[in-house]
Amino acid sequence: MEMLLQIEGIDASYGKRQILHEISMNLSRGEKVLLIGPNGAGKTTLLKTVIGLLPPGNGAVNYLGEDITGDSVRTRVRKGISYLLQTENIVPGLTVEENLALGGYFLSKQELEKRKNMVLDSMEFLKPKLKTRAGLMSGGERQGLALSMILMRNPKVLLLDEPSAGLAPKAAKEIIERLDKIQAAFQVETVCMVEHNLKLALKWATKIILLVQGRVVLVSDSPKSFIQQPEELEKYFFEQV
Amino acid sequence: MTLLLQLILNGIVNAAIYSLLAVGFGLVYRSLRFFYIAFGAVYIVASYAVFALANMAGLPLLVSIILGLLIGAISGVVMDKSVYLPLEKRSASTGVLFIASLGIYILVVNLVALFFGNEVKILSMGIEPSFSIGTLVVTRMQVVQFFVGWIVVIGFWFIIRKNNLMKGIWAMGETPDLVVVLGLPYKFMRMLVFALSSVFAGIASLLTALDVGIDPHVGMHALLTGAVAVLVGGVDVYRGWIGGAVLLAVLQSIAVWQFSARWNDLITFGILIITLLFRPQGLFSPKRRREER
Ligand SMILES: Nc1ncnc2c1ncn2[C@@H]1O[C@H](COP(=O)(O)OP(=O)(O)OP(=O)(O)O)[C@@H](O)[C@H]1O
Ligand SMILES: [Mg+2]
Repeated sequence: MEMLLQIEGIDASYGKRQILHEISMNLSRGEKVLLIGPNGAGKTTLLKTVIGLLPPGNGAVNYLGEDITGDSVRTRVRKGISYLLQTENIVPGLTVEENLALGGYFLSKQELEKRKNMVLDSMEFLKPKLKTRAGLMSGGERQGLALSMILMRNPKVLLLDEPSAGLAPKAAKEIIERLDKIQAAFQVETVCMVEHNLKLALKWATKIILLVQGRVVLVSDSPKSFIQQPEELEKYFFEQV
Repeated sequence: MTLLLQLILNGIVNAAIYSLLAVGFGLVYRSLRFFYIAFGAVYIVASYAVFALANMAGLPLLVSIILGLLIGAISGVVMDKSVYLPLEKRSASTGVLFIASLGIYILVVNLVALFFGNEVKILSMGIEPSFSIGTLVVTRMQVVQFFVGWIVVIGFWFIIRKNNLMKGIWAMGETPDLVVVLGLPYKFMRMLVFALSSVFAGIASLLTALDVGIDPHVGMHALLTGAVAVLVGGVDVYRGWIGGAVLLAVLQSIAVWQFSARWNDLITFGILIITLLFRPQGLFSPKRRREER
């Protein structure tokens, strides 16, 4: 499989406190990677280093064989990496339509219109809400909008930080089940998702990475075998899968 | 009655200038979320630049005004690049930015006083002609203030509503990380915020200075007027900034009519305190979900 994104020995800190320790992982074309770990493990921190919000202390990020560690967030976005923030991922004060336009900031007028319609076809529930202030929408609608916004720029790699955060089980199920369709419709080549809802996410994933205290403790290429390692799991989750 | 009408007329003219101040202050306060005291410093820079260019160097007034506004804009941007941005990179708190801003204000006021003196400098040339409408009197400068002020403020309103970059600037104040993650040009937007804020301050400053002159200490009053207008009207809506400015100007006029001009500051802060007590989100804020605050 062709390597799309390579993360090599990344260390990252907030101030003096080191959060990530020598993290390495690969995202290949067509892969659906599930990143799990307890709260505070450093999942969000890892995605922030990959998108460039947080410069790593050590290590490198390669994308399509090119070192992008020094690139700005903007350059990475332009090259096709998009990141769904865990919180504050929409602009509450702007309307849904304005939010989408921000997502497609560098697109030409026609291109913007085209992309918008494409996005709205996958997220029908946003259609009647185009003129609504985004802040007035429900949690599920917000997450849908947030995802739509990062789809506006034609990303090849999607980094999703808990797309189902704060959603009722049914809405969470809908959004995760929607992912495969979205990936096909938008020709997204690989998705890396952080998700606490294991039951749903394991059905979706092709690869699982378990992060604990800033270190990769387990990589599994099959969700099935992953479920059959109960000690590992029980150590970090109280959930029975 | 004539007096009241005259004062209301003055109020409407003042409202134009107050609106400029509100937009200037609001742009930075709303986008970067810190109390921008140095706005008072930027406010005097443009007028003193014009004074130096026109009255001291003898350049034509119009050229001086354009250069003066440019110098004001540059001073705002330089201030950000040399002080605020580096502080923010080191994750300074808004309290630190507040103090830094106060420091800049004091520094600039003292430098200006050192070079130009503390007394009032007159920028205008000759006697201002005035016109009468019925029993009311309007000076030429008031006409200029009214039209320039309102055209700029309302014109900018249209730009904000249409322009995607301005929407991005608007978004910056709510979700700064998102703006970066979406690949918007954060640095450029930030520069634009300071430049535009300075131009608004500069226009307000010149419209006033050409009328009544300028001294190094008027910036504080301009800052407070802009800040109170924004806080009273509502930080999160442009029309709130303008609404706050108009309310302030008209109430001040009425206060002058009923009491005396010395009551102006009391009115300003009275309105601020009443708003903060009873409607802290501002008078013109839109409906929002409770968890948004
Ligand atoms: N901006 C920050 N400044 C300082 N420390 C931070 C910052 N953001 C996160 N941390 C710390 O870094 C550690 C990892 O946080 P991170 O957000 O990456 O965890 P996470 O795995 O995403 O957790 P969750 O599942 O709760 O989202 C935590 O201990 C957190 O307190
Ligand atoms: Mg997280």
